[in-house]
Parts: sequence; structure tokens; C-alpha cells
Amino acid sequence: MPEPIQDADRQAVVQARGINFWFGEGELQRQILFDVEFAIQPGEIVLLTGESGSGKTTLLTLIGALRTLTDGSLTVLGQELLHANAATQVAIRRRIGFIFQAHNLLPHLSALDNARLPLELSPEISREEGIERASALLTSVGVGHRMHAFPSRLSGGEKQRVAVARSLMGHPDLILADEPTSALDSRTGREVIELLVHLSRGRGVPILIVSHDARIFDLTDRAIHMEDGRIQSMASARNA
Amino acid sequence: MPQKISLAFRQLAHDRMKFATAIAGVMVAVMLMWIQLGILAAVYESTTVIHRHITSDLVVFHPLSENMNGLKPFSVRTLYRVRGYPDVTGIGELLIGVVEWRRPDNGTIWKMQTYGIEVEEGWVDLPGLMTDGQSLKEADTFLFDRNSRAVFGPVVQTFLGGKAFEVELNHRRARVVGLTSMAASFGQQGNIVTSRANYLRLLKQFSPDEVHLGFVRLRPGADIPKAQAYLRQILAPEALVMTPQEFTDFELLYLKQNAPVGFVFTMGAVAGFFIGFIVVYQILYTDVTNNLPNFATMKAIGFTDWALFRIVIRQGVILSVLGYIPGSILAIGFYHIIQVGTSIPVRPTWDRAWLLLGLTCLMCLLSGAMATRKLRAADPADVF
Ligand SMILES: Nc1ncnc2c1ncn2[C@@H]1O[C@H](COP(=O)(O)OP(=O)(O)OP(=O)(O)O)[C@@H](O)[C@H]1O
Ligand SMILES: [Mg+2]
Repeated sequence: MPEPIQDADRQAVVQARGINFWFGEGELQRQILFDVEFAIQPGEIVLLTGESGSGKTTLLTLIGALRTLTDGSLTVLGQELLHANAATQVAIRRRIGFIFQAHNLLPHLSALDNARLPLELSPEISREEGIERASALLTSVGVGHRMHAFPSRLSGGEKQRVAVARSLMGHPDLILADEPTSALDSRTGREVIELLVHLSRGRGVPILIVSHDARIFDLTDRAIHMEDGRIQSMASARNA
Repeated sequence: MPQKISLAFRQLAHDRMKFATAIAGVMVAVMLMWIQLGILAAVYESTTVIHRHITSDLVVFHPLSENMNGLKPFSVRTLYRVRGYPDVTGIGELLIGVVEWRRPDNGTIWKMQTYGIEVEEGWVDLPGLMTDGQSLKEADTFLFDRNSRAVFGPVVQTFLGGKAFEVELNHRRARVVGLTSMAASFGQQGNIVTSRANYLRLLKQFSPDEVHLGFVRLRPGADIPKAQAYLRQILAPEALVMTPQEFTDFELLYLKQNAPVGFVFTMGAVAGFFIGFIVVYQILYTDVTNNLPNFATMKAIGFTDWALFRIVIRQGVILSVLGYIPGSILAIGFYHIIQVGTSIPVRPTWDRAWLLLGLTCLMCLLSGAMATRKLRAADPADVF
């Protein structure tokens, strides 16, 4: 593992140092993450792998400011998240595009409205502009023709494409995806990842993807492997 | 924050069945409140209809009387004593009693509230009294309250149809010479107004030296409180002296103390409020519970707790408005039915409309606010 140089360090999109994390209290307290240390540089697409229970999701929720870090240091998009307050967490979440395992589309909104949901948080963007942007994005992820359908009428792949569109909607500075393809067959899954990677690269948005699927490794820049709450190895896809 | 997507409405309306149930619940609550408060107001109104039409400056009555229908007769000589006060320009009498009304068509007998008064002097300005009152100079004539219940027969139709309506009152033949409009209440079924002389013909046992209610008119510009204080003194202890407004309050106080109508109907309205509250709370609570994963997703995307809170509150407001409008329309329909069926003068008023809109919103906001407590269970860390 090469020493990161100071300069790149300062620009890192995600910089984790000595992260320890516990679940539970007292007797039941169990440490899940041990001295986790890594960085994601601008524009990097990183695959996070590891056995079930190794702590990948936990790490992702910490980076996404969905949980509060209590030990170590984690800088995301220039913001220290150790003991971050609610307002800071919300501010960081708004700069991140999330893609969830179970797509998490709102069942009562059409594909179009789901895609433009993040724009509800940007009052400066008009309704018309939002619809325009969302339809363009949905078209670019290949579900333009399904724009007015509700999630219950979409296939798994279509739903995940809508989720990809939603994650990109608010012009995020980072995308976090947790097993976005696990509910899809491997071909559809790969198509969705290809799409995501393609669109992110075009915008220079870094991605951290958690996946069991080693076959998407070639689409990423490098992989981080976790075992029992520890970072075990970092491999560069280019060198592999 | 201006909403581009009506998240509250979409979420609420997603399950059509539940949405309809919620609206129906609010509607029922709104209707109940309208009806209960409407009847209460109508009861108060109809019990004081004469009081509020009294034109005299003061009224005089027996101190042991509890209310209008329970006025105890007192001597006219006592009433005449008020003439001693220089500002008094006129006095009048009202006699009250009950006669038996025997329907000409089927012979059934009904109790009829009867008022005897010199109508042309205008002590009471009920509709019809001044115009048709002249005919009461003839013996055995009376004015019929068009709001009397239907049990008395087709009096109004017959009269308006140009035909004479004759009836037996306390075994005397009498006929309708005009209509007035008071109100039926729970206490009595119907009213007639006649002259003092006709009253004495109908109620033979009543002594012509007595009176139930005395009217006192003062010189224009006279100091009423001063006159009242003086007359009170010279009439005590045989009679009380009140202004018409005090007499109205006196009647309402009696009603409130002796008939639980106020309590019953207020409780009815409160029950309506709680029914609505529980229905809306139930709907919103299950809505929040069922949507916890969606709220968690929204939190992860960057919605604040406050934004989610507002969605739930907005749902409450949507339910109030959507329930209030049809509920009010239906209630006004019911008012009509009640009025036609019972002659109780239930009428919608803007005051009540605003009050109930406020109560409905309060009901939905309270239940919404309580349902938002469940929002805390939406943990954005659960989304993955
Ligand atoms: N909310 C929680 N409370 C307590 N323990 C938890 C909680 N969430 C996860 N854990 C535990 O933390 C450990 C790491 O879980 P995590 O979900 O991060 O693993 P993962 O690497 O994402 O696994 P998978 O590949 O199965 O998704 C597991 O042992 C899990 O049981
Ligand atoms: Mg996981």
C-alpha cells in the first residue's frame, strides 16, 4: 500500500482513518469495524467486496452520513463526519447519490417522479426544468418509454435503472451503491452497472460500489476487500 | 419549500380504499359536529324566539317564575304601579297558556301553546303580527305559527289556499286569520297568537286581573338602567324588572340549568371531534408505519425530519379539507331535513362554518402531529 501523498490526500473524496465502529451497548457491544483506513480519489470507481457480515454496509452507511461515526476520522467531500450533527449529516447526504439494493423507489410515485424526487430539495430548480432533466436522464438509462409507470409495473432491471437516474439527479459529488445488482440476473446487473459507470465517468463522479459480483471488477478502477471488519487488500483493476 | 411533487397527497391517495375511508371518517365527524351544534343553537334560538322579538324597554314578571312557559301570573295592579315613574310612556300585557287543539279532520287532540297580546301595539314584532293582527279584533280568531309541527293538520296549506281553517280550541270554534312564524322547540309542538280578549274567551279559568308578562315602554332617550333600578324598587317584592336581553339570558340560564340540552349536544359535537380524531389518527399512523421504509429512503436522500413531518401534517390538512367540504354540504342537507321534519330552526351560519373548519383542521393536525411521532422510527441507516 503506497503512502498517499499529502496533496492527493487533501483532495480525496473520501478519507477514512482509523475507523472503529461498534453495534450494541454494554455486554452486547460488538465491534464491527476495526481501524479502517482508505481513500477514494476524485473520479475513482471503487468496488468494495467482502464476505457477508464483513461490515461493508456498515462502512457505507458511515460514509453516507446515515450513521454517526464515533471513533476515528472520516472526511467525506471535505466534511469531517466524526460526531457530525444532524444538519451536517443532511447536508452531506444531499451531495451523495444513493443506490440501494432493493431500489427503494417510492411506490406511490411514477418513475418520472421518483427520478426527480431529489429535486424537491432544490427549490431553485423549477418543476418544468426538473421534469425535463428527469426525462432526459430516464431516457439515457433506457427507461424513457416507461417514465409514467409506477414501480409495481416495472421489471427489476427497469426499477434499478430508475434508481440510477434518481441517484444522478441531484448532480451528486459521490455515488454510494450497495449491491445494486443482487436482485437482478447477472446480465441485467452488469448492464445496470455499465450504465452507472458510464454515466458517472462522463460526469467525473466517483462511485463506491459494494458487490459480491467479482465479474463487474473490470468495470471499476480498483477493489477494496474487507474481512471481519478490516480492510484486507486493495487491488487495482487496471493491474489485475 | 415549494413542493413540486405533492408527496403528501400521492402517499395518502395511493391506497384508494383507505383514502376514501379516511375522508368518510372526517365527513361523518364534520356532519356530527354540524348537526349537534346546529340543533343546540336552534334549541336556544327557538326557546327565546319571543324574548328576542320583544320591543319594549323593560319587562315585568312574577319573581317566582323560572322561565317563559313557567311565568306565574301576577296582578295587573302591580304592573300599573310603573305608571308612577315619569319616563314610562306605555305598558302592555302578555298572557300565556295552553289550549287543547282538536283537529277537525280526525278529532285528535293536541296541546297548543297560546299567547294573548294586543298585537297592534307592537310589543312583539314577530312576522305577521302587525299585518294580520288587526283581524284578531274579531272574536275567536288567531294567528297560527307556521313552524308548528304537522300534527295540527294542514293549517298552513289550507289557509294559504284561501280556505278558512276552523278548529276547536278548548271546545270553542275558532279560525285562523293569519300566520306568524316562531319556532317549535322540544318543549312545545306549536304556537298560536291571539288577542287578549280572545285569550280570555279560550282560557275561561284565567283571571282578567292577572298578567304573565308586563311590557314597559319608556320615553325615547330615557335612562333605561335608572328606570329599571327605580321600577325594581317600587315593584319589589311582587315583580321583577328586566331588560329583554336580561330576560333572554334568564331563559337560557334556565334551559342550561334544567334541561341538559347544552351538555348533550356539546358532548355530541365533542364525540364527533373524537371520532374524526381517531379515524384520522388511525389512518395517518398506519400510513406512516407502512411508509417507514419510504420515509427512511427520503431521509437518506437528504430530506430533513421537518420535511417529513410536514408531509404527514399536510396529509392531515388534505383530509380535513376533503372531509370538511362534503361533510358540510351533507350537514346542510340534514339541516333541511330536520327543519322540515321537526320545525326546529336549524340553520347553517358562517360563524359555525368557520368554527367547524377550525375544529376539523385542529382535529386533523392533532392526529397528524401524533402520527408523526412514529416518524422517529424511520432510520436512514436501514435503507441498505
Ligand atoms: N443494526 C445492527 N445492529 C447490530 N448489528 C448489526 C446491525 N447491522 C449489522 N450488524 C452486524 O454487523 C455486521 C456487519 O454487517 P454489515 O451489514 O455491515 O455486513 P455486510 O458486509 O454488508 O454483509 P452483507 O454482504 O451480507 O450485506 C454483521 O455481523 C451484522 O450482523
Ligand atoms: Mg450489506
